[in-house]
Amino acid sequence: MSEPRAPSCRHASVAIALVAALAATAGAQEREVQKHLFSSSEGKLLGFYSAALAFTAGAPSLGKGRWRMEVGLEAAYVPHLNREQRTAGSDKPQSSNLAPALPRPRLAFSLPWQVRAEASWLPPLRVFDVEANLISLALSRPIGDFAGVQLVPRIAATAGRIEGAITCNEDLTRGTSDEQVYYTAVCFGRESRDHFEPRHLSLELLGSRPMMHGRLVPFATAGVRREWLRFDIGVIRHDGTRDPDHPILTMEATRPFATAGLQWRPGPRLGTGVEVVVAPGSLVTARVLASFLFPTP
Amino acid sequence: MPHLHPSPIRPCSGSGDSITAPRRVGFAIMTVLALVLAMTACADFQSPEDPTGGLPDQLLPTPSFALDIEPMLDRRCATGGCHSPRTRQVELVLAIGESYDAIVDVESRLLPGALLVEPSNADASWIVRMISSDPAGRGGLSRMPLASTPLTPNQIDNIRTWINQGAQRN
Repeated sequence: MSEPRAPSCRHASVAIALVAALAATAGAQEREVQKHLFSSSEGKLLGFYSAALAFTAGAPSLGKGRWRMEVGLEAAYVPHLNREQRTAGSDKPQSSNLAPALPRPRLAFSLPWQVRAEASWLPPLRVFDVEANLISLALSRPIGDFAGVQLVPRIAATAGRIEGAITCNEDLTRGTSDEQVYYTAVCFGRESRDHFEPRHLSLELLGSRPMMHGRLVPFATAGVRREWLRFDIGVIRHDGTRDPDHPILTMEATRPFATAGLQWRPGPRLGTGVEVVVAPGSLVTARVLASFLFPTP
Repeated sequence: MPHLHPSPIRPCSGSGDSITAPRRVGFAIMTVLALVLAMTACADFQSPEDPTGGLPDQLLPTPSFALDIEPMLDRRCATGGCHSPRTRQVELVLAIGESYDAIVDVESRLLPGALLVEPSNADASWIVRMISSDPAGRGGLSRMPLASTPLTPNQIDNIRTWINQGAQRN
C-alpha cells in the first residue's frame, strides 16, 4: 500500500497537470492568422462584404425638432459574385452568394443641439442561410446651409458578426464529382460555420437640397471608412469542433466611399428613399429605405 | 418597399385627387429607380485564379527539388484541410521539409504497389498520374489539387523532369 502524498505535493501535481493540459490544448488549437492587403484577392473579397454591410446615411432626417423618433427599414442589394470573385484566388470552391439582400431595421432620434443619433441592430436570425448579429451607431449634426445645400457631418460605427456556410456549403454535394469529394474529405461532410466579423468607423459629409416644397430631397455623401475585418474559416470536424488547420484571414484598410440618392416624402411623417452606394474596388449597389417619423408628444 | 396608397380619410392638404397623383407618381419613380439601380449593381473587383500559387511558371531543364518542386507542392497541396502536417489527407504531407521523404520511394495508399515517386520513371509515379489530366491513369479518382485549378503544364512537366532525372534531393 502506497503512502498518501502530502496535500501540497498533490496540489503541485494537479497544477502541473493542468498547465500541461492547457499548453497542449493551446498548441493544438493554434490558428494561422493571415494579414491581407486590400489589393490581394482575399482582401478584395473581404472588402466587398465589408462594403455591403456598411451603415450609410440612407436618407436625410425627416423632420426637425427634439425628441423625435424615426423608425425605418432598409433593404440593401448584395451583388452576385462570379466564380473567380468567390474563390478569392485560393482556387477552392466557396459559396459566398448566400444573401442577395440585406434587410436592416433603423432607428433615429433627434436630440438637443440638433444632434441626430441613429442605431441599427441585425438580430441573430437566420435569413437567406446567413445569421447576422450586427450593431451600428451613428451621430450627426447639421453645420449649415451652403447655396441651399444643407451639410451634415456624420460619424458611424459598426461591429458584429455574420455567420454562414461559405467554405463548405451543402451545395457542393450537387456540384462536380471533385466538389463532392471535397465536401466529404475536406469539409467532413458538414456545412462550415464561417464567421465574418467587420468593425467599421466612418466619417462622412452628407449634403441634401429639398425640392418641390420638401417632398423630394436629393442627397449625396462622401466619406472615408476605417475597417478592421476578420474572416474565421470554420470547417467543422466530426467531433463538432472547428478545424484548426484553416487560417483566420484579417485585413485593415482605410477606404473612401460615396453615396447618392433621392428621398420622396409622400406625407409629413413618411419617407421613402433610394440610395446608390459606391465603394471603389468593392461594389456599386442600391438600397431602398422606408421610414416613419413619430411626432413630438 | 411599403405600400403607399394615400389615406382616403385624411389627406394632408387640398383635395384627395391632387394628393393622390403626386404620391402615385413619387412611388412609381422610387420603385422604378430602385429596380434600375439594383439591376445595375455590381461587384467592383476581379480576383483571377492563380494556378502557379504565386511561383514562376516556366519550363526548367534541370528542376531543383528545394527551389522548384518543394515550394510548389507546399503552396498548392499543403493547404488547410489537405496535405498539411495537421490534416494529412491519406497520410500524405507535402509541406516544406517533409515532402521529399513522404513521396520518394514511398508506396501509395490509394494504389498499393505503386510508388508515389519512382525515381527515373515519371510515367509509373502515382503522384504524376494524380495531377495529370487523364482520368484513366488515376483509376477514376479525382484529379489533384482537389476541386481547384490544375497545376500548369510547365509545373507538371517540371515534376516529370525532376523524377526522370532521378528525383534527387537537390
